[in-house]
Amino acid sequence: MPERELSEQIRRRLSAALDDGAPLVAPLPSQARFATLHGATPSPRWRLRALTVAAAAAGIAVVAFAGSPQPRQWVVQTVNGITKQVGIPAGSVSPSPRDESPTSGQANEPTESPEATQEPRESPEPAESPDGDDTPQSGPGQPQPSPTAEPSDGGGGGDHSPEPTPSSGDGGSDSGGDGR
Amino acid sequence: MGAEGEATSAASRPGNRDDFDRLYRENYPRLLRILYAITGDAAAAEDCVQEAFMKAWRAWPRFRPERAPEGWLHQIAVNTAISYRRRAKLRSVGEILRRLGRPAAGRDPGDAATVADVVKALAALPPRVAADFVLRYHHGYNNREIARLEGVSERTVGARLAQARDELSRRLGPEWRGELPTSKTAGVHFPGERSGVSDA
Repeated sequence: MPERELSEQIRRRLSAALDDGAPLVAPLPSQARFATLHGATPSPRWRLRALTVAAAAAGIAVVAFAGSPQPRQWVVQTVNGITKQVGIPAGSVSPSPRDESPTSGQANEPTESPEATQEPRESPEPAESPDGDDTPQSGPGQPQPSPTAEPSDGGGGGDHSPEPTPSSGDGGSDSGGDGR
Repeated sequence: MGAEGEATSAASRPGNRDDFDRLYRENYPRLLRILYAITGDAAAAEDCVQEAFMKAWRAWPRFRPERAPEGWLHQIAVNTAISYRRRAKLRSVGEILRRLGRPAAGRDPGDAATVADVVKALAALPPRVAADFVLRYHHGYNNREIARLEGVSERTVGARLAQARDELSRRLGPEWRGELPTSKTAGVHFPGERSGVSDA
């Protein structure tokens, strides 16, 4: 049985109805919704970046835990500074917070601030401080005071002689001579 | 209006982004029209087409090339529109329940004889029937092409088209029933047929 055909007029009406109602503004493929899904899969470029960042992090970690003292201290200081800026209590992170520059003594961290002021107490580290990126406190001009404090006790004993160093100065200088 | 969707010449490699973009460009207009006829709402049609392409993109790596990608996309799109209609129906039932007891808003007289009536009538058809009607009379596919696209028999397509013409002629006027191809009766109204709907 032959099929009925719509007249041309009716077809035009049909087309007009469909075209008027749904004007064809096809978004570009890049703007289509599926394109957002496509972006979700990691591209090789992203993988490369992630790999680079991971390698850098691993390098920093190696230096921080197994490197020679000087770079290690630098790393520790940097991490410490960042954690302070971010606002994480960083007391446990740093073995040597003493080298914090004046900026580090922010009001946020009560635990940190006293240490920053009483730097010389931390005996083990200050030995490296003079050659490192030292703070204005230990002074550009006086190399003596800082070495004096630490060699006296060589270890945790530094805490027992709280603040003798900068002011009392000479008291420790003699003992500091054999230090580093 | 040829059967533009029929010829997607280049082979489609599953998972290939460029091939999928090409399919998107070639099929979007056709699918938008079909889904507009099914949903009766341009925004919903657009939404459904985008959703359909999202589904297709997710399944694209698993697409089997022995099948025509146009038919595959068509099926996804029509299924998406069917789901939309189901949800819309549920929403409208909820709406009716909420309005129970309140006076119904009168019909806007301006609605009467607009082209929107055609879309409304199409949207009242079963989804696959509406889709076939649009493919046949708007996009210019023949029955065989529609059957191939949808993976059904030509007889099924013919039955759906007949159903569509019957329904539309009831809603929009007898001229939507169509004419037998051999007759020379274009524009002639048969005496017992309704002719109330103007072409305007």
